Amino acid sequence: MRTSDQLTPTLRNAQEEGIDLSQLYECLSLTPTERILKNLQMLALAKECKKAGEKKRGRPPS
Amino acid sequence: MKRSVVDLQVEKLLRELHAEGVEFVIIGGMAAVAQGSAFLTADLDLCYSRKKENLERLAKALAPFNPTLRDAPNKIHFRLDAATLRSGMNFTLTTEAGDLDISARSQDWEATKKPRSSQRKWRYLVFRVRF
Repeated sequence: MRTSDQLTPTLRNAQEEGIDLSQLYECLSLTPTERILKNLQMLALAKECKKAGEKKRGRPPS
Repeated sequence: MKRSVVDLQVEKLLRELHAEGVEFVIIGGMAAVAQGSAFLTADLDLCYSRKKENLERLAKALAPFNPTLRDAPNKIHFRLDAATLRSGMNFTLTTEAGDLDISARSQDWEATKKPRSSQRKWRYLVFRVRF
């Protein structure tokens, strides 16, 4: 986490409002290719979770 | 009607578009992701130039992915060629490489020339994104 004096006014306001900026910092530390690959990995995970939920319920969510 | 969901293959789509020399920019959620957002998106949105030769290149680049209109009834015959692209401005497509939304609204294309549009690299490919 960055100290207040390291942040722009917009980010400082966001942090003071309780917004978690850690994901943003993590994404910004990656290259654009890594960011897109990470998105695709998360998407695959979300699909697996959805599939597992459907399997457990025996039907797709309404 | 439930449709089968295909994993989004961004790299495959971008490689083909580059190989055909299509003029396009990535917009929407994937542009936000490329710029550093933690937002999760499941499709690829592109904005393209409506120049005649570009429409032909775009149709040729997407042909191998068998694009169809997303959520349209199966009986609707759809063929994505330059003439089809010329007659519409926005297409929401399902392809064999995932969902792809393409837009040629002139204000979107013009906006890609503004400073908020930036150049990004996908491995060895260079593309422009705007968010």
